[in-house]
Amino acid sequence: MKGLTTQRLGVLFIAFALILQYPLLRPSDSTELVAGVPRLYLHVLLGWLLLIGLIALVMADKHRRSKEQE
Amino acid sequence: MNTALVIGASFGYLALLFGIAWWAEQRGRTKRSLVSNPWTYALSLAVYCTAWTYYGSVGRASVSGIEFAAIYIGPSLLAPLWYTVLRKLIRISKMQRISSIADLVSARYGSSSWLGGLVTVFSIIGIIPYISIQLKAVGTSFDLITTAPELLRAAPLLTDTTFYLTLGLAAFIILFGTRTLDATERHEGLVTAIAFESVVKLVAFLTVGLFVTYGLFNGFGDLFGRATERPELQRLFTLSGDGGPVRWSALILLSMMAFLLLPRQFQVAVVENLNERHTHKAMWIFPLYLLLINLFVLPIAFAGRLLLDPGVDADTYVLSLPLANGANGLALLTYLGGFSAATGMIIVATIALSTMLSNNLLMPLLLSLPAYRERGVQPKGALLLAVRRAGIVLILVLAYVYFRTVSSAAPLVSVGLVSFAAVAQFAPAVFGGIYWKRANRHGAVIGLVLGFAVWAFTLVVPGLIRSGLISPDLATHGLFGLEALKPHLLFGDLGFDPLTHAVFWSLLLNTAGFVLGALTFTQSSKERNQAEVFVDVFKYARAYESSIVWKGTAQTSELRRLLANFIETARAERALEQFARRNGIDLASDSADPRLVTYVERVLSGIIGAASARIMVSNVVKEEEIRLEEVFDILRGSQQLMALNKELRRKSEELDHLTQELRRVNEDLRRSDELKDEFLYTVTHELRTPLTSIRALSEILHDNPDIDEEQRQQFLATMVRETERLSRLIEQVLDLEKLESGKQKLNEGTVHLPTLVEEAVDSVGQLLRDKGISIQVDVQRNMRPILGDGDRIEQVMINLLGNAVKFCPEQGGRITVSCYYVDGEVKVHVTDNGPGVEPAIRKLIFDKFFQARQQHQRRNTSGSGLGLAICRNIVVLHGGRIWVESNGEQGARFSFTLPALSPKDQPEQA
Repeated sequence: MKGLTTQRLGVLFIAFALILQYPLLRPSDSTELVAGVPRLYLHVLLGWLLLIGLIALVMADKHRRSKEQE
Repeated sequence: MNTALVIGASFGYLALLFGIAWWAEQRGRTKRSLVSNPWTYALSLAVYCTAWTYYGSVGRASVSGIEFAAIYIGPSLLAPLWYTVLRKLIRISKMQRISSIADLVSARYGSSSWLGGLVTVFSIIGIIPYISIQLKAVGTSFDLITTAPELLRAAPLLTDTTFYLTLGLAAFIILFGTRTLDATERHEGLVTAIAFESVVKLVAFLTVGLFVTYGLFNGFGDLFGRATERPELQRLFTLSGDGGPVRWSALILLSMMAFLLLPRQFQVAVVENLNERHTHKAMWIFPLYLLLINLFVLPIAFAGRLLLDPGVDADTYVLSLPLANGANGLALLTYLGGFSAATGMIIVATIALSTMLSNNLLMPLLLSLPAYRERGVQPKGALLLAVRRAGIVLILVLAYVYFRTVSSAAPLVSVGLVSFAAVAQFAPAVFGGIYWKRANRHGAVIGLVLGFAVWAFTLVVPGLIRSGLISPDLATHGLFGLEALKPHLLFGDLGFDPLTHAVFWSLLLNTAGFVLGALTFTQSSKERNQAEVFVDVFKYARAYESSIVWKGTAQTSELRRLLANFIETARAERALEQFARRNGIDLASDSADPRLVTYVERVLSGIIGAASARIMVSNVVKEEEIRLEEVFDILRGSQQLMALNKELRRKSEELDHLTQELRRVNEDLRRSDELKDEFLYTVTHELRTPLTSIRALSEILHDNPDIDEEQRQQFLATMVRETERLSRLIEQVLDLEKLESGKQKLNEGTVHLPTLVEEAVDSVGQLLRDKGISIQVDVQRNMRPILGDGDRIEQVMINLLGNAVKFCPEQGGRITVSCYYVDGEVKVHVTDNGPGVEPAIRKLIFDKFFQARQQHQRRNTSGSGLGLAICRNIVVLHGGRIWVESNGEQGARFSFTLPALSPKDQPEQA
């Protein structure tokens, strides 16, 4: 079970290391405004938020599973 | 704003910090610790956000857009890896009582005082400018808010507020940071104060952000919309500044390393960590904090560019915007937020550096003095405390002097990044050390020296050239006139910006030196031990304490004396006794157990650092070289012992399980024995009743020959009836016994159930007519036959019908019999309109003698109480089921099913 959490977190790291850097940032790297906010800023902000949310989910699940095991 | 007010607020705030720290320490002694929760832990990690974040980010964002955020994306991105990396660092540090990053490096590479000293010196060189920019930020913001332009830096020492602030911080740090000698002990008060500071700076920054975005503009849309109208601002929407995407990635990488390797981060994340589990929650709380504190950086930066005079320093926008709009209260809050960001960093960084300075540089130096080395004098704890306090003062003085003299015009972020690049040089030694067993001292030294040389040459030298301290010839012609050795273009132009260029070359050469060194040279035995224990920390964590990874001779009294120098004698004695008891060591013998030696060294490490502890212990013991094979044998031995223990525990659990099983079986046996007794008792009782009456009647007849004929006939009839009852009972008991023991074989043949049912009804026909009971028979004619014993099934039918007759009311009795085929089985119902069967006893009535046991409740006592038990046995033997349903007073319905033959089993019957 410990292995699963490590693997999930590892995948998160790799995925977001890609999402938050070039070349995946490139399509958003323009002066265009989306909902009044520069597209690049929005991309980074939402990616960041999503990362935090997913970490919280993975850890909550780990917590739940270790509770169940007890 | 009134200068006195601002000074009052600053020192009032500092006093508040003292109060909080003091309160937390008091509370920690009596109640549940304030520090022991993931929120405080996450907030203390936020010491990562300094004045650089608070003022500098906006300054940076105003010229290069979102690039500043990379510094916060890095640690956020790293958060998922805390689960492996940070946890490992924490585990190692707790096990080895490591107190700083220098101590970690020194301990890993065989308690090398060389390496510890090197890391300490590099840390101090790298971090002092970083501390000084915090002082600068406080000074600048103070000037700005009191509108005393350029007054501060020219002011003489005694009228400089920053000077008093530095003094106040020194007092705070000495008071709460050097409470105990043990550097690995937690500083509760201090950590609580830092967490509080993190809240203050976040609240203050969010307030300014909201004020600017919604007070000065109509939200984000309005603000960015207006920025779009200015091309030089619109340019900031993209990553196309100097360096662009490459710099963005370099900053992310750099900040990831800095987050773990900065001395102050190591202090709060590893040394002050109370519980590994706190990292689990902090793993998302901390990135969320980073996101929130950066949310308004861009809006404030654009607002500054849009609204303020171009001459205003962008690093001060956070404060200038409220001031320019007359929001003085808000400005004061903002100032205090920046103040808290700066002081938090100064406090933790100073503690971390002073621990390093005393334990990894000054103490080892002191111990190598002839007085200590040759004459056997041992330094005392008081000396260590004095050294550490002097270290704190020294660091703060250096930072202050740097601020007053050099205090470069360089923006906050640039100075901070140079520090980041400096600590990033520890990465190969640290991460290589905890993941690669071959990594050794030589590689680490080579890597570190190379890395720092390149760092200094590419990042520090250009600054010195700019300030005129070094001739610009170096920049144009290169070192020694070699084109390839230009500070900003080392080995030719790779198209990097200066920072990326420096990080790339320094880390590349550092890592190369580290790896080549590790592959070329061999490890010492102590290093091998440590390599094994560091890399496999999760495997050895428990085996470690009881493992002897040391060989030689030592005297217990010497070890005692050594410890007593730094810990009160009573406490030292207690610690030794506890350890001895845990590991079964005899303290009375004067030749010390090798485990005791390692233990003492580890305790000392926590106090004076790994390298100093090594020196001190080796002074009092006679050591022998221990071979690698021996180390492995010992560690493996402990491992095996643990595995054996585990196996033993498993076996004992199994035994427990079996015992329980046995107990259960025994209980069953006892119950069936009881049942047998009960059965015997009931049978004898049932037999005695008719016997008694027969005997009584026959005695009357015998003793009274003149009894009249009518009476005699009546007595004889009763006797015959009772005898019949007796023999029926005996028959039934035998029958039941045969059925239950499985001795009774069914005389199987194909049986056509409808016919059998009708025959059974016919056989009780007379009885029905006598009692005036009406019967209705409803059978399905053409159904499949069953395989069974016809006589036995008829016995069941007759028994059920007999029961129905027995329970029918005296008048208007009615019985229904139905028989039909459904789903592969034949179902038979016998329904009466008697009193019904209560739900509680619906299952029990099929038990032996159930009726007998219920006699006192039943009006009808005829029958043995074995009939239904026999029925159940017969039906079950045929593979069917029997049960009763009853709807209150509406009578009872007894049903049984028998499996029908499938068509292919009975072709000739069809």
